[in-house]
Amino acid sequence: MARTDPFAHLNPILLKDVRAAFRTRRFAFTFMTYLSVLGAVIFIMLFVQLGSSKNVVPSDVGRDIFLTFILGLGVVTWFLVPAFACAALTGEREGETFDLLITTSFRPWDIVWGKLLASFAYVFVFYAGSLPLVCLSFLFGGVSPGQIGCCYLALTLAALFVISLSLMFSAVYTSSKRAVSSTYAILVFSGFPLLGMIIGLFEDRGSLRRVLAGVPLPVFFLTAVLYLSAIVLCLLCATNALKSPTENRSTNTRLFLCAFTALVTALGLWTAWEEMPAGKDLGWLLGIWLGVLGGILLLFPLLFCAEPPQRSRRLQFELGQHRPVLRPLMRLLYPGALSGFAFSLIWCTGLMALTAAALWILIHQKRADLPLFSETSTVGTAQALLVLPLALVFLLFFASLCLLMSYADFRTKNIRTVMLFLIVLSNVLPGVILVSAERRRADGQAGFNLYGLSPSFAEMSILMPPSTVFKDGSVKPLPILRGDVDFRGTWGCLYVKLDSPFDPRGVMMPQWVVAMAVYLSLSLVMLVLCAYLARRRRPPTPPEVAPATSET
Amino acid sequence: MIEVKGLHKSYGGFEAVKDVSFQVAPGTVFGFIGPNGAGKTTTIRMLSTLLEPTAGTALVDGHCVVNYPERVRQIIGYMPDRFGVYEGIQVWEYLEFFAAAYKLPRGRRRAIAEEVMELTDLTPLKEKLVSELSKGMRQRLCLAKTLIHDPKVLILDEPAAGLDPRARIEFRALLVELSRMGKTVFISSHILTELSGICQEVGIIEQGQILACGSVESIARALSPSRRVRIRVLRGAAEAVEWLKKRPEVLEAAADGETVRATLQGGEEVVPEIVKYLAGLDVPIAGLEQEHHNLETLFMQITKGAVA
Repeated sequence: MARTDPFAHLNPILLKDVRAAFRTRRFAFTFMTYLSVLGAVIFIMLFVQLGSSKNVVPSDVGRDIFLTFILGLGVVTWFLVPAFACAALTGEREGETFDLLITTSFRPWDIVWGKLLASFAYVFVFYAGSLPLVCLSFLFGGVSPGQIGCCYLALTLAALFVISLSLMFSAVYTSSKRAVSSTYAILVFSGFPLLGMIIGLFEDRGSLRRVLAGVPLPVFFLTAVLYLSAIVLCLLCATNALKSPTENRSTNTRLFLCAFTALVTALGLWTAWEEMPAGKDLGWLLGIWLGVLGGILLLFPLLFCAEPPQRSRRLQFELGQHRPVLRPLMRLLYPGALSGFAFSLIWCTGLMALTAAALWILIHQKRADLPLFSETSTVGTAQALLVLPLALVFLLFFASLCLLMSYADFRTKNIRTVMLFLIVLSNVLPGVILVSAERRRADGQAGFNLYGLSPSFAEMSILMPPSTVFKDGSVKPLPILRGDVDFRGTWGCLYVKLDSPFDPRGVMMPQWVVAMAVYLSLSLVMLVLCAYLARRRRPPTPPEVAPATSET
Repeated sequence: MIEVKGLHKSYGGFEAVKDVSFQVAPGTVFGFIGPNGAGKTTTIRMLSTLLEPTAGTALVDGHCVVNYPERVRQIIGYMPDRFGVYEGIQVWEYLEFFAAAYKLPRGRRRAIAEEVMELTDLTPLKEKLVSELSKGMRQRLCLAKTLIHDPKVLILDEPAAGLDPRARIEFRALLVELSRMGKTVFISSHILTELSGICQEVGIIEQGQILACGSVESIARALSPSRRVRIRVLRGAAEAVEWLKKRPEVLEAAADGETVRATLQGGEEVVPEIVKYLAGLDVPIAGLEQEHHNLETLFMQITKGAVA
């Protein structure tokens, strides 16, 4: 009678990876080095602190030890985890075991989940292994259990985020080097919030509490939603990348992004509902909310309009299996560049329209304005709503560009790379021009605004007018712009005179109208080209649907 | 068990597989022969659900590889031409991992792994790390993994490539054993000695096209309808040759000592007729042997030596 493996109840991929990883000399060496370095740093610090002065406050020593310990774990999480998590899936490809794995009964999600658990187990060993060192801080005090709990929670979330990101790149790329470099490139820019969170925990608690007290409740939810969504989105992308290109790699992401954007919108509206009657300064809040929403909406063309225009035979077969009533909806949700284009526009337009309507109703019901950047300002309501159609025009532009490249037979990965580059460039470059070519104009005449063609700057130009008219009739520059960049004097810009009674449309018109007109025209040209390319494409070979299986 | 009809696979403008059709009956060992770059691996990857055909259908046990890949994966055991192993784990752990990957019941995984190790002679090595195994043993281990879920169909892509002669002979014996167990074996190779003797049927592919398909004999018959026989006589070989030359179904005949070599045209029924004819002429026949067609000769006759 054969014995049963005592660990048979564990996830098989977790078990296999943990066994393989923990038996290597590399792991033993890495772990020993990490503990030695962390121990040495803490002991040196202890010696220096205790030897430097006779009036040492024990709680300060305990707090410093704990902070060093947390910093060590943070470094491990941020810099060591990608080194092995990125090889989780590329390693299978490079080691030629991927085909063996994918032809088993494992579904891509099983593989991603197993790899997530295995990578987390690796991190957990590092966390747990350094516990004896952190216990030193308890000898001196100064660290509350709540702080320890919060730090561990933040580190766990950070580890999950780093692992998910690593797994996504590991699934997308075939080489570990590319996966690691891409992950580090993202992590370098996204590490600051974590650092801020940890340092914030040890700031003067009174002042932190005061700052946090002013932040509306939905903002906390929004932060949590953003972090968790980033993790889920990375895992979904990893799962889809493991599927064969002929499988459905899109519907789950489409549904997730629908739910996610709806949630973000609901949280934004909740904030407006809660905060509006109080007449609080909502400018920064609305700015962040609309910025987040705009950024997320740009994911739609990136992810869905870059797909190949033609569906695989398997997808056509799967579509045919759905009930006739559901087929139009499923066509919209199933992969394909054209369906991605339609889906992105329909969902984003619907969401924007709903948001605009809800804001409008709120303003009228509550008889309140949306004060932007100034509590006494009367402008802002219409401007906030103007951002929405402008964002849609940008979305249409990027979606049309993706669609055109897809019909021109560009590879999906290349389209996404180009689009990401364009989106970043169009948002950053005008800012550089703006700052470097700033030139004050004394006449303050109206004119043409080049930086208005950038999505972020065109939206900003609506949200942040160069100056505003206050209720007493005075015209002043906005507080946020004072002393920084004077929008009236920038390169290539001409404005209407601002000494007349304030008319927001007069000031704003040149910027957003030009932006909208240019982007709309370009979009239309690209759509016409798409139609031409679609007609030129060879008609697809009719799919030969195999007979149904003998067993069902 | 395997039914392929009009299978095409193209990469951009390049057609790797063109209109490939064949059938493999249950319990058959089917040899898929072709030179390097002929389209063998592409066809096998389509059958193993790793690639989607551009056109055509492929059914495994009645399930379409395009529409029902999950069901097909349960039926087939796939062994690729190049594969890696998880180096940090032991042989039994490796097999139990794949038993779990095929969702076999938890309580039976160890027993099944042991059965498979027994079949593939890996039991003495069960505690060894996979990284310590030789090339031949790794090949066996991969075959053991392929058998872990008791698949009806084995799809083996160049399974004996790189093995030493002993390991190759042992591997062949293992395949014969599997065939006896009723498995349908689809095996590709460009080394013909590897397949001769174990394949009931073969398919010859070149430049992405099937050139011939069926049993070796039927292919040989289709290629040249004649058959060669060697008749050993006790005496009068020269007279026998003279008489044989008078028969319309005898294309040529020659004596070589006490042996008469003759080339006959027509089906199997010609042979007994000739025996009867010689016996009627009082030629003492000590034995008769038909010369069998060699797979290598057939392959050289059919293929042109070009690659796709």
